[in-house]
Amino acid sequence: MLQSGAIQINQLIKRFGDFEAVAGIDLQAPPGAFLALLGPSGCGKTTTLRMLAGLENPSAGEIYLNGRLVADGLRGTRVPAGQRDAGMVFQSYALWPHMTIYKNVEWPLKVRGWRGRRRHERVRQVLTLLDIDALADRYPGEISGGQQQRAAIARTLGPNPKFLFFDEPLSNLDAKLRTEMRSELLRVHRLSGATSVYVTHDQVEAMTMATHIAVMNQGHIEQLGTPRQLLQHPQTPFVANFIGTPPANVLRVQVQGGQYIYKHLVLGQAKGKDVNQTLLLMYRADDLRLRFEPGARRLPVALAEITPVAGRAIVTVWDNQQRLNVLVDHLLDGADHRDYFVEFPDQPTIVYKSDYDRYAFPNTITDALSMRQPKVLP
Amino acid sequence: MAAVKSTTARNLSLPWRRSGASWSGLSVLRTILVGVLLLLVVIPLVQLLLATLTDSGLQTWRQVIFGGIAPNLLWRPLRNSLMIGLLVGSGTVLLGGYLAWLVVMTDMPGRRLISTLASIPYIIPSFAIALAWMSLFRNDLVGGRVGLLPALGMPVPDWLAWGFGPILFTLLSHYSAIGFSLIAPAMATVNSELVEAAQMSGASRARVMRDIIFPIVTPALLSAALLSFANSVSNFAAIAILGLPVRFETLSTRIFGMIRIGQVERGYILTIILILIAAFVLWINHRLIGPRRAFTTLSGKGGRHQLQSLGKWRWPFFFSALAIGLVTTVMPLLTLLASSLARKTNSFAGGFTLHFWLGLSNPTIAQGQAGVLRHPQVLEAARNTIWLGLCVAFIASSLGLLIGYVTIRNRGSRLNRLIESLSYIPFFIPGIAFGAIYVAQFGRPIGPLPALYGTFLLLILSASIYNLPFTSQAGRAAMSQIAYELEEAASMAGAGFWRRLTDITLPLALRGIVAGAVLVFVKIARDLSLVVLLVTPTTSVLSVTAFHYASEGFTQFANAITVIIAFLSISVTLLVGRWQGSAQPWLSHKK
Repeated sequence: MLQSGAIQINQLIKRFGDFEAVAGIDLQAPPGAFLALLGPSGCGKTTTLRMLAGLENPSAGEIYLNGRLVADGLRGTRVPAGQRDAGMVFQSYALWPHMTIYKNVEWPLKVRGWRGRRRHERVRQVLTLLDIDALADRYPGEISGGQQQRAAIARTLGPNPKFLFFDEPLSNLDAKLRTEMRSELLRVHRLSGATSVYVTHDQVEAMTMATHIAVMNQGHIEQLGTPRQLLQHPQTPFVANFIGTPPANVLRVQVQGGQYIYKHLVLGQAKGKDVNQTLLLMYRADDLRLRFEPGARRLPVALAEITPVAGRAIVTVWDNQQRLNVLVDHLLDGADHRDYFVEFPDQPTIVYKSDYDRYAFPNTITDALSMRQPKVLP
Repeated sequence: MAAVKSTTARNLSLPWRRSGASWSGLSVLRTILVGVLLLLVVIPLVQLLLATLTDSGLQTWRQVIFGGIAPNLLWRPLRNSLMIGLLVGSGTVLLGGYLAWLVVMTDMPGRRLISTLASIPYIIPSFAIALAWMSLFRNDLVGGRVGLLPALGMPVPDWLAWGFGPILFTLLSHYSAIGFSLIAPAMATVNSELVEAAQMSGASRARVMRDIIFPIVTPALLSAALLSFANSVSNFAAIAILGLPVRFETLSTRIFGMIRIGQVERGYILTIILILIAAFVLWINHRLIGPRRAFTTLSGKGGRHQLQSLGKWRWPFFFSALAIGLVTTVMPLLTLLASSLARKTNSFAGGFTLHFWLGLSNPTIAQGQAGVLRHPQVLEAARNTIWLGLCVAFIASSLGLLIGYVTIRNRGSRLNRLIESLSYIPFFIPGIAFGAIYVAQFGRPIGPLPALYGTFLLLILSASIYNLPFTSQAGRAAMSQIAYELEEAASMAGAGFWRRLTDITLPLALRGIVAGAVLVFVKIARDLSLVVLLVTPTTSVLSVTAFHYASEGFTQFANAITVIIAFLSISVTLLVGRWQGSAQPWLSHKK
């Protein structure tokens, strides 16, 4: 197979007993990319990352890093973790507790045979880069969580890896520190010139940091694309419902008599000639309207919560089946009204077949980039 | 599914292929461990069995079980063993449980003091208490110098001087520490919220005790009973000192006697019977409690809990606990010390002297034996004891750590489960039986190798393997404290298997391992049952020397040496306790 990107994954599968954690994924990322593997817990993103790093062996499929075949599930050829020119930042940071911060950064260089002045200078350089040179003689147990995070990144950067792998590195930090470390990580990524792969379940994190995002679900890649592509053209209902602040709304409707019917409510005229089938309609939060009396295309709902966002508000409502997000232009007081209705526009943004074959979508970046319109059915 | 199966099969047949090059070190290690365990655990055990299955062996089986010698050789000692086991097993729970309850659950004053006193009997040898008893109560039934009390004119009846009663007291004192050290942590896990939740629902104090606290500590109570049963059934030292002179025999002393007089087949058969009994009881314990709890030793009590108020009974309870502690711990040691200083054996009438400690050889005293600190044989034995303790602590702990390493890191593998099971086997074998097995296996040359019997190496080997269940458990505990990510981070840094082991894993495991190693050292320093069959005059150790002195009537020497052993054990334990606090700065700062 032709190798172009810095990372190329072909039909990668990982089984644990009967369970397929990664169910045959294809992926390709160009040099210098910041690729986020995004998905709910148990979707296979960490397993994928660990196979990239060489900490886990694939059950089948191939992994190429910079054109070099590093893992091959069928034939068993494999480059060990330490020889893939990659560094990893672990979720728990995995700082060696019996070494000072200086030693933690120095040890990987020692293992790789860096000597004397050069090694010392490199350690100082990365410690300074991450602004923790004052902590060099402390033990990991003596510094704060944010500082540990910086130390872990410094340790990873030391040997100048071509690949940086991050396994949910910010999940142990408080909200404010997390925002701060996001830009810090991006700075480090750009400075190092490495290709980064970043595992997270937080779509905001992925959307703000990544150049490319692979949305994963149940061992498959739902969609691979840039943050903008995912927002504008979600290829599957899962992606539509996962990405965005707030994420889009997806309703399961019946087509009857040429109309979309949701819980006896007529949402609009169905296009095409499909009858008596189930479809999934996607509506963006800013296309819905919040109303206070009944009417056409208005669904009675109960108020769940109100999240203020920069002068506007995301109103989350509950219709006894699912939560819906509505973006309103003004701050809303929950006690202002007795009855709430959601009014739908006369056409949804995207229509998905309910039995869509979500794995028929091409998943390489190049294909994703050439993708113009999402499938609107029929 | 088929694919999954074939992968598993490949794992088993070619372990080194499993995860590629970076794990081959692990596979080498596993192979070595299996080899060591087969050679030093399985084969000796099988050999022992085979040795009794020859034609003459089978005939001996019939003799031992049904023959004319059977009542004396097997059945009466067996009955004695079981009686001792039952009484000590239940007594331990009562005594240890009582002390644990006072220390952990009540507001009794001086809980820290009682806690220390309650755990010391585990550190000092059981024959210390037996020797102290002799120094006090020995009467003139079997001749020789009488003890302090008869010497002062107090009549001491035979049942108080010899046999069952004194043995029971000795073993109960010794093993109550096991009871305490198992039950106290279990009680400490009953946190106050559990109790408060029960009280909120309206339960009375007695009801809380019955329905909440008791069920939680039941496994520990059972474990304490079964462990002290198995241990006392196979105890050798106390019975040899207090029972043998009046022909009170148990299986352990019978094994010792038979092998010493050259009736090895009989000895081996008794050994097999003893192993079956001990193994059965310990196996039940294992099934009930699981391997983790079964090896639990002294640990600090943690967690907050509500203390039961004893009211005006606080001090009476304290004095009762103090009395138990003094009688089982302080008095024996003081008695030994005092009697080792007495000019006349077991009598303070002749005044005191340091002769038995420091004196030069003088033909008028003790057949010209020099004091223990000047006696070349005693000094040699002391050197041997310390060397043996150090070597065994090092070897057993290293092996234990490696076993912990391979088994924790790859739980699923069948080879690892094999390693784990094999390393537990010695736990089911009483010390004296283990010694007998090694006599059987290494008493004669194996192929080109010379017979190891009588060598120091054999002592080291046997004691190391004997302690393996304990150290491998400590190794597993230490390893499970170390997050796997720490090692993965090292392999991302390019470090190979051995480098990860030496630079990351071993330094981190050291703390847990050192604690285990110290316990091994102490166990070896005070052990008599394992080594008594294996030592020869050239390889003697302190405990055996003391035992010989005691059997030959040199009471002061025996007592002095025992004091040395107790001093060595206690001070090493204390020292390492302090060292642990300071040696690893990164731990003390942890928030």
